[in-house]
Amino acid sequence: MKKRILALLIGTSLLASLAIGCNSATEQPDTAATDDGAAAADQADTATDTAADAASGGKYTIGVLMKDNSDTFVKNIADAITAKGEELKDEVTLLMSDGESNVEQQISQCEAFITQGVDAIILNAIDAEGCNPIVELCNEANIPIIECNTLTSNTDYTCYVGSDDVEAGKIMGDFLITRLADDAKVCILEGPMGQSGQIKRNQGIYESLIDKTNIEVLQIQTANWKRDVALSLSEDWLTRYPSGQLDAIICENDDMALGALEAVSAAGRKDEILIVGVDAISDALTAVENGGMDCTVFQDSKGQAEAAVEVALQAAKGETIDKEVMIPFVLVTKENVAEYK
Amino acid sequence: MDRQTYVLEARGIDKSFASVKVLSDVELHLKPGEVHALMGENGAGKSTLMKIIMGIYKSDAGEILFEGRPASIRKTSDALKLGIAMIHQELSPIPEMTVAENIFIGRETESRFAPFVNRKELNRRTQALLEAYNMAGYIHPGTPMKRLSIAQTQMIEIIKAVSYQSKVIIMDEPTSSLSEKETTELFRIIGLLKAQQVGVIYITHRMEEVFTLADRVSVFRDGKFIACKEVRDTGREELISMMVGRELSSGYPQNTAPKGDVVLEVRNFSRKGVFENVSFQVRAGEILGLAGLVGAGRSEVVRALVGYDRLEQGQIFLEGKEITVSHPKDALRHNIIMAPEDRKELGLVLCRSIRENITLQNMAKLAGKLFMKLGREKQACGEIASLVTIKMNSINDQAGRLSGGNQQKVVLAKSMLSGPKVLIMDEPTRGIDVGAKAEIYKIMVELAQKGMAIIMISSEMPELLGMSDRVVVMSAGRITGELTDMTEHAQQDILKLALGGI
Amino acid sequence: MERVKVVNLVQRFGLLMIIVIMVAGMSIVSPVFFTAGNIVNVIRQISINGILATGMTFVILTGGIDLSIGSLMAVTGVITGSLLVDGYPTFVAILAGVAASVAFGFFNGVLIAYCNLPPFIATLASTTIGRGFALVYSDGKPYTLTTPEFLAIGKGTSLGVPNPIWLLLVVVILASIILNISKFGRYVYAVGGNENATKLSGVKTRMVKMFAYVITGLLAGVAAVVLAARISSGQPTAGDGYELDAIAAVAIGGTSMSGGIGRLSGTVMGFVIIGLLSNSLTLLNVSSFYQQIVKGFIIIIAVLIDQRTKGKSN
Repeated sequence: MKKRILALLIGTSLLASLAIGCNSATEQPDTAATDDGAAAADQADTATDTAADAASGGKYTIGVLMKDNSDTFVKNIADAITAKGEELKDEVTLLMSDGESNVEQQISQCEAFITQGVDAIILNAIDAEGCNPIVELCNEANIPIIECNTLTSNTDYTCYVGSDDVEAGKIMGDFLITRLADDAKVCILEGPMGQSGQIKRNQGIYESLIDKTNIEVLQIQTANWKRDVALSLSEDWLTRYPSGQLDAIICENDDMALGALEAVSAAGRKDEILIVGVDAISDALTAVENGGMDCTVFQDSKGQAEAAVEVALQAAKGETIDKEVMIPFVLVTKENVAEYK
Repeated sequence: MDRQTYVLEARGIDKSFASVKVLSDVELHLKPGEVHALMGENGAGKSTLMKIIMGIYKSDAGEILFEGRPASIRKTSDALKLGIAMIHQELSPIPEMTVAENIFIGRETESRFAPFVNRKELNRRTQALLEAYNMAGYIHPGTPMKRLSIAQTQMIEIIKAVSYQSKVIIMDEPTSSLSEKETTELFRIIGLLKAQQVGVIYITHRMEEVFTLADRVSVFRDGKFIACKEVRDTGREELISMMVGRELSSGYPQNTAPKGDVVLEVRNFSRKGVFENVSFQVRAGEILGLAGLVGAGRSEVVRALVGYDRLEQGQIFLEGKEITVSHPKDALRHNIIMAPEDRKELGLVLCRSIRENITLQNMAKLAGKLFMKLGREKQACGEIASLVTIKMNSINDQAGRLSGGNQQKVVLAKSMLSGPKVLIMDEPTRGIDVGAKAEIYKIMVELAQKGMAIIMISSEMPELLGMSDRVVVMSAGRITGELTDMTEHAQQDILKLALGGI
Repeated sequence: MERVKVVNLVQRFGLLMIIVIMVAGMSIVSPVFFTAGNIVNVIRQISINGILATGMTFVILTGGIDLSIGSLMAVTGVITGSLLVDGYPTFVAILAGVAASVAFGFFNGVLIAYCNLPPFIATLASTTIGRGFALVYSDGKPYTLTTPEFLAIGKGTSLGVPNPIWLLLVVVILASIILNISKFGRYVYAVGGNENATKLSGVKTRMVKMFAYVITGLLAGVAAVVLAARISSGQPTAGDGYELDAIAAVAIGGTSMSGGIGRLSGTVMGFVIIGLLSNSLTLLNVSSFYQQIVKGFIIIIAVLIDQRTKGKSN
C-alpha cells in the first residue's frame, strides 16, 4: 500500500516536472527554432521521421549530425538548419541528431543514417581526428558528406561549408596588434584540445599576433569553452600577474571571454586588460556594447547553416558543387555592434 | 619438562595495543595427542595469544616453539604450513561460496599441472570429509554457505581446520552454536584427533566440557598466565577462583519474585514456512525460557514480536489490550525490548561508540525533539555501563573493539535503559565467560523481581533449567509443549519436545 | 611515550598537516600566494564545491552516494534563471529553483530508501533525467542574468567578505550542528554503520536515508544559485562533473565510503585541499592536464594517509 502511494507520488512529480518543462513560457534570446516539437525532436538521438517521406516522390532526405546542442553556438546552427529545412520542405526532409560531444555516439548516428538510406549527410564534427571514420563511412556508401562549421583532418568530404577558424583567430590578432605594445603580456583561453575550432583559432592567433611581435604568452590553458572554468582560471591569473603585468586575455570563444570578463571586472582591472572572443553570442554583444569585451568575432551561423542545407540538397541531386563554401567572419566592435544585435 | 615432548610452546609472550598491555609474560605448552583447555574471563587474553600463534598479530616479546624448534610465524599461511590450524569464535565464512570452496579456499589445487580449479575433485574430497564426519546426510559439497545454519557453519569450520592435516588445532568456543547432537559429534572428532597425536587447544567457558574432554587446563587472568593443572587434579571451584581471582558462589540465583498478572500474550503467530500458530504468555516477575533446537523458529517469532520481521497472522496483547507492532519503533513505545541473538548483525553498530549504541535505542529519554541532551546522555550511559560492568576505557570507546562478552553487555545496557515491561533475551550468555555470566544472571533476577517479564531464548540446557520459571518448547516452527516444574527429568522432556515428539 | 604522542598527532591532524605543508610550500615558491586577495579568491572558488561536498557527506555517511548533484545544479540554474529573466522577484526565483532540486532530491530518496534501488544506479539515472530536464526546459540555451540583488549573491560582499564565503560558512556550521548534536545526525551515522541494528533500535531508517538525499538536493540548489550569480548565467550545462569533486572532498576527508564513519571537518579539509591544489598549480603555470593527474594522486595519497593513521590505533 505504501509502495503504491509512493509510486504515484513519483509519477506525479515526474509528470509535473515534465509539464513545467514543456510549458516554458520564457522568451529565449537567439531562438531560431520554430516550435518546441521540432526542438525536442532535435534533441533525440535518432529521428522519428521515417523513410516514408523519402519514398514519397522527389523528396530528399538529409541526415544532420550536430556536435553538441547544449552549446549555444551549435544550437544556433541547428536551429537555422531546421528553419531552412522548413523553408525547403517540399524538397527536403531533415533528420536531426545530437552527438552530445561524444565521438562514438556521432559515428553511431552516422551509421544509423546510412542504414536509413539518406541522400546526403551534413556533419558538424566533434573532433578533427576522431570523426574521420564518418568521412570514410559516407564515401564507402557513396553518400555526399557536407561538413559544416568544424572540419575533420580527413579532407575527402564532398564540401566544407563554414568559416575558416584560422580567420577568426586572425581577426582577433589583427585587432589586438594595433592596440597592444610590442612587448605586451597576454594569456590565452582555449577550447577543448583537439577540436578543429581550437586548433585553427590558436593557429590564427599565433600567425597574426604572437609570431609577428615580441608579445609574451604568459599562460595558455584550456577552459573547455566553459564560462565557470574560465572565471576561476582568470581569477588565479589576475593574482599571479598583478597590475601592469597582464595586458590581454585572448579567448577562443565568447562564453570563456565572458567568464574572464567577470573576473577582470571584479578585480577592477578592466581598463588595463583587453578581452576578446569569438562567436558574437548575445551576452557577448551586450558586453562589447558596454565596453566589457573589446571585440568579438561574428560567425555567421545562420549563413553557414543555410548554405550547408542548400549545398547538401544540390549534392543529393547529383549536381556538381565546389569543394568549399566559405562564409566570412566579421569583426564586431563597439562601432558596428548594433548591426548584429 | 623436557622441551622435546611439547608440540607447541609459547614462552614469555608480551603484547600491547597502543598503550594497553593485553598479554604479559604469558606461557602455554601443548603435548601431542593432548586436549589442553584454556580458560579465563573475557578479555583475559586467550584469543589474543591464539591470534599471535596464528600469525594474525605479532608479539612484542617472547618466542613460539614448534616441535622444539623456534618458529617464525609472520602470517597465517606460515602457521598453516607448519601444521597449526584454528577454528574461530566469531564465524565469517564467505556466504556465496559453496561448502567445498570454503573448505579448500586457498588450496584449491595442490597439483602443479592443474592451474584451473578442478571442481569435481574438490567436491569429491569434500564429500569424503563430510562422510567421515557424519555430516553427509544433510550437507552437500555444492551447498552455498549462506544456506547453512549457524551450527552447520560451525561444523564446516571444524572440518576445514581438521582437513589441514595439522599437528595442532586451536578451537575457540567451538560448541557455542552447536546442539547436543553436534557437540557429541565434535567430541568424537576430537577423540580421533587425539588418537592421531594431534594436539588440541580448547578454549571454552563450559566447565562440563573441560572435565569431559581435557587432559590439562591453563588459566589466564587479565593478560597473565595463572596456572596449568592436570584436569584430574583440580575442581570447578578452584578453576573459577583462578579465573576470577575471587570466590564465586556457584549455581544460579533464585527468582523469588511473586508472579503477577499476564503482561504479554502472543496469540496465533504465523508466518508461512517459518512458524505456525505460536501462542504463549508471560507474567510480570517471570522468566520464561524458550527452548528448542537451533532452527526451531524461536528467534523468528520474537523478531516478529518486536516488529523487525513480518508477521502474517497473529495478535499481541499487552497488559490485556491488543496492540499492533509493525516496526520496532512500536515495540519500543510499548516497552517490549529485545536483545538479539547476533549482536554483530542486529545488536550493535560496531563502528560507533558504546555511548552512541546505548543512546540509539533511548532517544526518547536522552534527546529532545531535535537535539541530543548531551549531559544527560553522558550520565545515563556511564551509569548503565558500570551497572552491567562493561570493561572499557570510557563510553566513547568503539563498540567493535570490545571483546564479545563486553559487546553483549552493551546490548544488555541499551535494552535495560529502555525500561522494558517485557525483555526478550535471545541467547544472552553466548560467548561470555563464567564471571560475566553470573553477573548477567544476577541482573536478570533483579529485573524480574522488580516486575519485569523476561523471555529468555537459550540453547544451553543448564542455563535454561537453572534460570527459567517456566519453559515453552518449540520445534519446527510450532509450540510442542510447556514445562512448569523444573524437575529431575525436565531435561529429557525438553529434549523430547524439542525434537518434535511427545 | 614520545613515539605514541607523534602517532596520535599525525592521526588526528594528518590532513591539517597536509594543508599546512601546502600553504607553507606555496608561500615560499610564489610571492602572490599568501596575499589577502588570493586567499579570498581561493575560499570563494571552493565555496561551491564546499556546499556540495557538505551535502554529499550526509549521503555517504548513510552508506550511499549521489551522482546527480551536478545535473541538479543545472535544473535549479535554468528554473531560477528563467524566472529572473521573466521579471519575478529574486526571492521567488531562488525559492522555485531550489524547490526543484529539493524535489529531485526527494525523488532520489524515495527510489533509494523505499524502492530499494542501489544509490549508484538511482542517482546515475536521475543525473540523465535532470540534465535532460534542464535542456528541455531551457531549450538548450542559457539565461542571461542581470538582476543586481541576485548577482550580489555571487559577486557581492557583506562586511568585506564575499557572499559565497558567508553562505559556505552558514552551510558548514548548520551541517556540523546537525551531524554532531542533533538526533538526526546520530541516526545518519547509525544507519550507515549498521542499518539492521539501527532499525531494531526503533529508528525509521528509511526516512533517515531519504532525508539525506533531500539534503544533498537542497544544497545542490544552493550551490547552483551561487554559481549562476557568479557567472551571471543560468546554464543548462552547469555543474557538469561537479559531483566528482564533491565526492573526492568527502573521500579525502576520511569518511568511509561504506558509511558510518567520518567527520564533517574532514570534508572541509578535503575541499580546502582540492581548492588549494587547483589554485597552486595555476599560479605555478602547470597545464590543466597535469593538474588532473596531480589531483588524482593527491586523492590517493590523502586517503592512504588517512587509512594508515586510522589503522595505527588498532
